[in-house]
Amino acid sequence: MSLELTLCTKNAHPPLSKGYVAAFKMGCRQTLHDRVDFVSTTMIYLVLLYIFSTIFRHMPLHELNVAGLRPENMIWYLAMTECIMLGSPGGYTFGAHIIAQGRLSEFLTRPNSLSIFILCWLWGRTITLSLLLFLLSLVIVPLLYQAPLPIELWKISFVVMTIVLSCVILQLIGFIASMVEIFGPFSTQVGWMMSKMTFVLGGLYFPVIFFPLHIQHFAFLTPFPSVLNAVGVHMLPVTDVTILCGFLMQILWLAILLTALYIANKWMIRYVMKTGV
Amino acid sequence: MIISINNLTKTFTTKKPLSKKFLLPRYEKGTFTAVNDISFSIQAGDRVAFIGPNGAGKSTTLKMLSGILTPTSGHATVAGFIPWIDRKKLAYHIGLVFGQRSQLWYHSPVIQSYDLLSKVYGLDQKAYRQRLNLLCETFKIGGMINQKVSTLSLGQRMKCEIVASLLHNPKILFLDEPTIGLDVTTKAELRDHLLDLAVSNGVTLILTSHDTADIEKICNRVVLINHGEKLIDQSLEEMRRQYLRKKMIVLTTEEENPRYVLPVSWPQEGIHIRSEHYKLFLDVDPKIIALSDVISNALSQTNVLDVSVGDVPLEEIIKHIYHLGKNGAAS
Repeated sequence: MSLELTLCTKNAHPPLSKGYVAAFKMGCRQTLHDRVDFVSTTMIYLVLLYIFSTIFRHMPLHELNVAGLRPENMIWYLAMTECIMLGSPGGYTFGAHIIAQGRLSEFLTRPNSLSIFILCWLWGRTITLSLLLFLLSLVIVPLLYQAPLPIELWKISFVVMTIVLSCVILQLIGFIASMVEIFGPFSTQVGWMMSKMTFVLGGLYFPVIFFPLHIQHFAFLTPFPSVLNAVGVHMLPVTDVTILCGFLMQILWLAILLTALYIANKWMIRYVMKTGV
Repeated sequence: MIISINNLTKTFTTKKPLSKKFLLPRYEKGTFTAVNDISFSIQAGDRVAFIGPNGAGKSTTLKMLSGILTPTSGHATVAGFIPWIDRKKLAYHIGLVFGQRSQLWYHSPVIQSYDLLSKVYGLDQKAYRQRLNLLCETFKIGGMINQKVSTLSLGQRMKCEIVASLLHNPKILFLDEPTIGLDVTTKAELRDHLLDLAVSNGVTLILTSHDTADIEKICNRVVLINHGEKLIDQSLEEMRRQYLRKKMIVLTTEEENPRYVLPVSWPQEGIHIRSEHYKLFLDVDPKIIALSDVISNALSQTNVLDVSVGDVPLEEIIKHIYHLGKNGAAS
């Protein structure tokens, strides 16, 4: 059979953004199709919220010198940070697997940027899952854990924006860190370290303001509070300035990480093209 | 000239551990030349078999030609581009199929990977649909593109992989062991499709394979490399003429490990004898010894159940050339 050949590309240099948008959509679609993953993640989310809501109700929060903090705030804080942590699995692992399986070369034969393409897919996947968990929390937390939403409804759009930025930053950190896999099978160790640093320095269970002052200073020198604390802080009795500061920190870290990605991507491609890894 | 390669060399740095100290391990640095001063050119529409034993430098050369590896020295142009410099521009003109790797998204339906690739290459969606339909018809995959990649058999997946590489209508298709692990029927089917595609569309095929049937059925030219050096670059026909002077007579006998006694008057260089189980293999040069003499002599020596006469398989020829190459006599 003869194939009628037509030049399919619209022009010699079609816009690359279409490929990135398609990768993002593919990530979103996969999250929506992966029902088993969504159900299991939701189960873990509900169990964690149940355990910690019980703990928070028995904690003498008023003695912790955090003005106006109530158990509801803490439950919502955890509901927000867990949206990010449970919604963003495998950013590090995915990048490391691509390198370990020698699939970098496959991505290098495409016309678009290897890192941005992979990240768009990861962003699509994680942002969708995080936002789904957030939507679920809006219904579940007041109903099951008797914790009414501590913010006005119109502020939800800002929370959504912060969640999106958090997912973007977390995947960027994971992907850049995953590049160490090029030097050997270090994914398990580095992945473990990254997740623990996110837990501890990001403020997964407790806001960073609970930490001793010198640890707080150290934490804010890292991008991790911009991943978790910046999202959870929306649910605490803090001023709008504090929330704005968290948002600006997110923007700052996004800029820093995108610059780091640009440099790391160039270095990785040069290394792969030289060594054939 | 769609591909031109001049004195292409690729040397890798190697590290040999000298001590096993945990904190301060010491290494001795060395070099390994995977491809050594290779030059050849390929015309548009050629179907080239790039063959050699494991570690010969086939994949390294393919990687350099597809722009994912920078050579240590030498020059190459592929579709008018220097691959390792114009990698992204070249991507629109080449397709790659790795038999042992997949470019499809494993847990998604095949069509989703195709749609994604169509966006990656910026294809006009109407033209893309038409081309996809034609490719589905050619490769007979219409019924499986809505299935998840994870549910496909290896043969079905490989057909889908090839279609994925052809969606953007590349001028050159690099195939790295496309039939590895496939059953005989699927292999034959895939070879027919590839040949059909190359002949009817003028797609240049560069194929590496350890299966000589792939080479015989698809290619019209053979480049043989070993230890990073080119041993042979000639048409398949020329190769056959040069190395297929000999005929192979296979005799199936009643006795195990049959013996064949060569008459003293016959020249030794005209025949090579080998027996295996109940079979006797005689590689005969008909210009030196008549085939009829060899057969009648065999019939007088042993109880023959079956006789077949044919060309020496390409595999044997390649083995022979490797052997010559090892002894430095190939050139």
